[in-house]
Amino acid sequence: MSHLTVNRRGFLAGLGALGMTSALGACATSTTPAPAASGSGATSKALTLKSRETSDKSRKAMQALLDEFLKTNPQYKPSLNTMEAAAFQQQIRADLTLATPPDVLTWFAGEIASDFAGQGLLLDATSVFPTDGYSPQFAALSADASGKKIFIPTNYYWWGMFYRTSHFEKWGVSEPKTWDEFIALCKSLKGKGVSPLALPLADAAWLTASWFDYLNLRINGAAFHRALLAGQESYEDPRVAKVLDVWREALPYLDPAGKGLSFQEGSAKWQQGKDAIFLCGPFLADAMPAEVKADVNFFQFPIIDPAVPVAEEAPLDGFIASAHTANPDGALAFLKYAATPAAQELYLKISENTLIPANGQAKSPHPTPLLEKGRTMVAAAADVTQFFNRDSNDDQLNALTTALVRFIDKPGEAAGILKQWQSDSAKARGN
Amino acid sequence: MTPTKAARLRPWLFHTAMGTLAALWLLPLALVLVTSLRTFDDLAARGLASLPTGLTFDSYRQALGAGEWRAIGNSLLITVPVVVATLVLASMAAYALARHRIPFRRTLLLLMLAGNLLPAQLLLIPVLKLTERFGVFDSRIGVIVVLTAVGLGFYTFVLHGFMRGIPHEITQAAKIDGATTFGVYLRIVLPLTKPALAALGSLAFTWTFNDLLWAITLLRDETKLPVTPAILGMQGQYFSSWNVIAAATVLAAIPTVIVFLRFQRYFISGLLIGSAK
Repeated sequence: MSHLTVNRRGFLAGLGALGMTSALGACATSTTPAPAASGSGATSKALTLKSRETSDKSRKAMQALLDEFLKTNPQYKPSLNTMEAAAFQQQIRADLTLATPPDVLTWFAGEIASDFAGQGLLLDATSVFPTDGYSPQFAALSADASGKKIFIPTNYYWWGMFYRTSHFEKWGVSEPKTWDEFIALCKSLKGKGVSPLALPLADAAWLTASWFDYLNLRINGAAFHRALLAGQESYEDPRVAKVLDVWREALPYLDPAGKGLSFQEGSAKWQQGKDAIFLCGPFLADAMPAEVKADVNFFQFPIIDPAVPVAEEAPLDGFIASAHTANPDGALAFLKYAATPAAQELYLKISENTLIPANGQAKSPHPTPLLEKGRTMVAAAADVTQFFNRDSNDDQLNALTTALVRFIDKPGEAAGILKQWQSDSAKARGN
Repeated sequence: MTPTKAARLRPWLFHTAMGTLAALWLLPLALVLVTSLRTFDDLAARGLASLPTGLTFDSYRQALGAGEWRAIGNSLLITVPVVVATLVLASMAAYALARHRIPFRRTLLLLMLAGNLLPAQLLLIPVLKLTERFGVFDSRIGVIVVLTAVGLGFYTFVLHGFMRGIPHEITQAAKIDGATTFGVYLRIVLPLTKPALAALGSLAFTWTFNDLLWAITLLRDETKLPVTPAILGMQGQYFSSWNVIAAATVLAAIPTVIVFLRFQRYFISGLLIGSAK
C-alpha cells in the first residue's frame, strides 16, 4: 500500500505541496490590488452598456443611443455588450458584485431592482431623474425603499386579449366587455370549430401568471394583489380560491394542445387563426410579417366585478447603473440622456418594437391605432401593476407556475393546490 | 428447410431494423438542415413540420453577418490550447502515476476522479471569484485555464489505465539503454499512447468546443464569446429566427465534424482502451 511507504521522500513531497499552496495563496493576495486599482480608479472614461435586447433592430437602436450620447459627451468611450436575456438574468447578480462591473445595464422596474438597491448594488440616480415627464406612478416605481431613484424608465407595454381583426370578422364575433360576454364568446368560437384561447406552456409556463394577475386584479383589486405577492396575505385565503373558481369557467376553452407547444409555436398557431385569442403583450406580433401586424388588435381583460377599480399590467423597462462602476459620472450622464424624450423616441424609432415611451413628453415614432389603444387603456387605469415576477421575484413565479399548471390539469383539486402554493411561497421567502 | 430460411431472412431483418434506426437518427439532422434553408415567414406561417415553399441561403448569410466567424474563431482560440494543454499535462501526470512509485498516487488518482463527480454548477461562483482575484476574469486565458483544469482529472484517469497496459520490459529496456525518465516518456510512452491521445483529443475538442456554461460564467465581452453563447444570443426573448439559428448551428458543427472525421480511426480503436485486459 502506498501510504505505508511514506518516508523521508514522501514527507518532503508533502512539504513541497504545502509550500506550493502557500505560494499560490501569496500569489493570490499579491495580485488582488491590481485589477481592483485599475477598476476603481474613478478616472475611467470607458462606459459599458450591457443589454439583453438581442434582436437585430434593438441592437442597432441601443448602439444608436450610445452614438448619440457620444456626440454630446465626447469625453467618454461607450461600448455596447449584448447578452441573451436568460443568460443576462442569470449573470446580473454576479455582474453587479464584480470589481469591474458593466456601468449601465438594461433592467425592469419592480421588486428585484429594489432588492438590488437594498443590497447597495445600484447607483443613486436621484440627481439625474427628471422632475417632470414621468407619471407619479412611474416615478414611484423608479425609487427604492428609502425614496432614492435607482432606475430610469424608458418604455413600457401592456397586456391584453390579442386577436386578429380579419379572423374575428370571418367568424362574425366582436370584442366582449364583461366576463360573461367573454365566456359566451369562447363558447360560440368553440361551436364554430375554433379553439378559443391560446396558452402555450412548454417553455413559457410563466404565461399562467398573466391569467392569475388579471383575474386577481379584476376580482380582488390591486391592493390585495400586492399584499398577496408581498407575503402579507395567504394563498389559502378564500379570495384566492375565488380567482381559481372564476378561472375554472374558462379552462374548457384553452387549446388542449397548448401544454406541448413552445411560445413560438403557440403564437404561430394564433397567427394562423387556429387559436382565436391570446392573453399576451404586444410583443406577440413583434416578429410577424407587416400585413399580420396591421391586422392585430386586442381587447381589455374583461371586467368581472364592476365595483373593483380597474387595474392594468404595464411592465416598465429601463436602465440601472452599478454602484461599483469605475465611471459614475459617465453612467449618470448616460442615465440622464436615457430619460430624455429624444432618447426614448430614437430608441423606438430604430427598434420598431410595439412599446410606449415612458416619458410622457415623448411621442411614439411609429404611432399605430393599436399602440394608441394600449396607451389609452393604461392611462385610464386606476392602478398599474408590473407583472407577477416583477412585482415579486422569480422564486415566487416558480411557486405560481407549479401550482397553476397543476390546476389546469386537475381543476377539481384547487384546495390542495392552494395549500401547497402557500407552503412553496413561504419556503421561497425563507420562512 | 426452416433453419436455412431463417438464416436467409436474418440479414434482411437486420438491415431493415438498422436502416430504420439510422433514418430515425438522421431525421433531426435533416430537419435542422432543411430549416436552415427556409425563410422565417414561411416557418412562422406554416410551422416547422410543413413542406418548404422555397429554399434560400439567406439564413447562412444572416448568421455570418451576425458575427459568427468571429465566434467560431474565438471557439478555436479557446479549444485548441485547451486540448493541447490537457493532453500534455494529463499524459505526463498519467505516466508519473502509472509508472512511478509516488506516495499517495492512488489517493491522488481517486481525488482527481472524485473532482469530476462534482457538478460544475457547484464550482461556478467560487471559480468566477477566483478568476477575478487572479485578474483573468473576462479573458480567454481564464477560460482556457479553467477548462483545462476541470477536464484534467478525467483524462489523467483514462490515460493512466492505458499506460498501465504498456509492458514494463519496454520502458526498462529504454532505461538500460540510457534514456532519462523524460526521455522514456517522450520516446517510448507517448508514441505508444497515440491512439488513446487521439481519441481523448477528439473528445476534448468536442466537449470544449461545445461548452456553454463556463463561457457564459467567465466571459462578459461580446467580442470574446465563443460560438455556443453567440448562438444563444441569436435567440430573442420571445421569438427566435429558427432558420438563422439552424444555419448557425450547422456552421458551428463543421469544426467538430472535421476533427471527428480526421480522428475517427483512432476514436474507434481508442474505445477499446483497456478492454483486452
